[in-house]
Amino acid sequence: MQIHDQPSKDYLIVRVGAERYAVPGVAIREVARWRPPTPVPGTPPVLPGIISQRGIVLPTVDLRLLLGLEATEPDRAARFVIIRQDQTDVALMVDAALDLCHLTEDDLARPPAGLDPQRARLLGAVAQHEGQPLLVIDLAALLAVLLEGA
Amino acid sequence: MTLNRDSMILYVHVGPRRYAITQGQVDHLGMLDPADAPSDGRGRPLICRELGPLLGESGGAGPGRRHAITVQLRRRSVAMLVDHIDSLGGAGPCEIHRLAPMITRRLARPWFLGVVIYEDEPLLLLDLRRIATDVVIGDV
Repeated sequence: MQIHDQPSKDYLIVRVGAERYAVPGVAIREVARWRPPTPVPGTPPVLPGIISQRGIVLPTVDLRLLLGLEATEPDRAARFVIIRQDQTDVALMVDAALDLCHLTEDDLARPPAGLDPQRARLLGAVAQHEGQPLLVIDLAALLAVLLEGA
Repeated sequence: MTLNRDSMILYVHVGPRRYAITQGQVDHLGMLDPADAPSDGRGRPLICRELGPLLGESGGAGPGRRHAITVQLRRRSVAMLVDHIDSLGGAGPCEIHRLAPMITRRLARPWFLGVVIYEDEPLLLLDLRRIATDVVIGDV
């Protein structure tokens, strides 16, 4: 019997609210502790401000609000996941960074129909990891949503 | 983009926030009491506005003398009132970072020239001439 190993991709598992999301590792540049961003007057709450990370000014994105969840005060576990996608650098604010994982194509399934549209548009796939559901974020779709100003 | 020393960066305190401004956009820095009906260098009434509320800060300053940044436009001068003005002590030429498009596209008003980093804190660089113009034309 011939066994074909499927290539796997790395993901960072983060917690947003009570849910676990997977951020594609290829786009992640750094994970940093949360600190209060500098607010930019006139921008919506989903963009709470800007931070300087190693001399680079980054917009911050409150992933809770983008996913349609309620805002909460960040605690010590909160992190910025700094990504680069399509030449754009963004600091995603998450409640916690939990773990790294590897997923193959076989692990991924299409997001279920009936999912809240605000959330569904940001998801590329769903998976099971260690017996728990994992929602895989589509970073290109996330950036498109942010850039279109929706 | 890098500013030379002729365009020195100042920072202003507005409520709990700090902002950066370029000296090149400033005609005069000083203190004034808006209740005294101040005038500009040409004897024209000076338009005085608190900068804080323009930038979304709640709460107002009490009566009395205030730090004022005067911006001279073609026909009028505008004094923007702030809590405190200071220079970026010891800072060399500052690099101005652009705001990300996802932010600039959502701004209600194009009031920021970019961002400067001071003591690892990103400070918004205000476009004072743009703000003053919007004040003069009654847009804010």
